[in-house]
This record gives sequence, structure tokens and C-alpha cells, in this order.
Amino acid sequence: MANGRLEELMRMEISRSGPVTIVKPIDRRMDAHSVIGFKATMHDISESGADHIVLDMSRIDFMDSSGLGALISVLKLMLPDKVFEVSGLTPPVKKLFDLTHMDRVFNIYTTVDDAIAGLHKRAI
Amino acid sequence: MNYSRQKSGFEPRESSWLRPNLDLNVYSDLQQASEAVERVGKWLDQENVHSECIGDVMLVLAEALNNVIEHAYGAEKKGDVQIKATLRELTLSMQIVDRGKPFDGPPEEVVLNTEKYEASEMPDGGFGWFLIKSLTEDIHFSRVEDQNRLTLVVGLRPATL
Repeated sequence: MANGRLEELMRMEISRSGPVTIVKPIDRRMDAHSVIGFKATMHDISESGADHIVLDMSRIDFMDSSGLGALISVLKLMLPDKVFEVSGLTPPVKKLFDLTHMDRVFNIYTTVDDAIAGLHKRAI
Repeated sequence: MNYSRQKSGFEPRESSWLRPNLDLNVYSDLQQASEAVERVGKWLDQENVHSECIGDVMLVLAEALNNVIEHAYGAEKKGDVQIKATLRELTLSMQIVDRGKPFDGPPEEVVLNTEKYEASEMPDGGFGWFLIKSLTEDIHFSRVEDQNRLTLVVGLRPATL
């Protein structure tokens, strides 16, 4: 699904739960150095048919504005017909979201399971 | 060009003792910048600084280095960046020196205007100086000969608080 060359820059685990594609970065950082590979990989995943992606950020303990910009780019790439949500924000990442008011831009879940449950609630 | 800013209500803090300094010299590429940020974070952890403050310092430094790489040196030119961090009891001062293009100094006003955009129109950049100003207590900038010298002061608290 994802481009192996680009994954060298930012390794990610990709899995599925029903209609939801779960993407989990393995590396701990989302900064200007790693973000180019991230955007390209997410683009590949979306183009391969993933209509609903949940990004599990539970391992990311450092993100700068380049990482945040990459998330916004992916969100805009998937709008208006696809869904991109985030889960598992660690305290430093949550602080970045709070400072920049991104809680009103992204659907944010505590865990991936919560995100999937949120989907199920909407389906009822 | 000289610039100096202290947050309203901030009183300079004196400390009776100094902890070690950390000096780093990096080349202006993103990987070395990322490694420098990581190195500063580990150093502060060893110095028992609160994890939230370490995160603030790392973010401020990352944004400043990204600016140097992107704007002072740019895509066509590379050069050295010196980082001199001085740890006091309640603050960390970081002086970042480059020999890139002259910098006009930090913007006087940085407004986060994310609230006026719908998600589909949200800009994916322009947060750097907003974050630096939000997380620092002091900012000083001077252009000395061929050097841009930016000093950023971040408030700290010990890990036990």
C-alpha cells in the first residue's frame, strides 16, 4: 500500500479495522526532517482507496509545526469525501494542538478504539 | 537590526548557581537540526527539568532552526549553525547563531488566525513564530557583522513540580 522508499524516512504500521485504516508511526518524532516522507506515504494510502484513516499518534512524543502542517495537508487532501482523524495524542503533541486550536479542525480521540467506536456511533 | 522583547509582567530571574552549558555546532540541514533538538532534550532530562518544559524547549529550538535552514540559508546555501544553551535554575537561554542572509528580526505581532478558516482552507504553515512567542519569556535578536544572533529564553521548572 505504501511506498517502501518513503517509509525509510518515517516508518509506519498500517492495519485495518472494518472500513477504517489505522496508520501508526513507529518513530517518535514528526518534525521537518521526517515530514516529507509522511505526507507522501499518507497520500499513497489515501490514493489506494482508504476512505477513513485514523492516525494513531501514541508513539509520537515530539512534533513541530512542520508535523502539524503535514497533518493539515493530509486532512485537506482527504476532504470533503474522506475522513482523517487522529488519536492517542501524547502530552507534548496535545499541547501543540491546544496552542494552535487544532482541536476545532481535527476529530481527536483518546485511543484508536475510541475512534472506531465513534465511527460505529455515527453508523447507528 | 536589533530586537528585544520581554513578556509583559516578566521579571528577570536571578539564580545563585549555574548549571552546565551545552554548545552544539550543526550544519544547516534538517537531519542535523533534528538531532540537535533531540540532544538538547536529553540533556535537559539529565538535568531533571520537567518534561513539559523540555517539550517547550525542543519545540522552540526546532522552530528556530527550521527558520534558519529555510530562510537564512535557504535551499541554495548551507552553512554552520551554533547553538549555545545556558541553563539556570528557572530558565534556559539558547543563543542560535548563523551566517545566512540578514534577518529582519522576529515579527512584532504574530496572530494565530486558524479560527477564521474552514478546515479545507486551513493554511499548513506559518505557525513557527507564533509557537516561539507563545513558549518563550524573552526574545533578543541582533545582526552582528555577518551573523544573525537570536536568543530565546524559556521558563523552566524542576521535574519534581
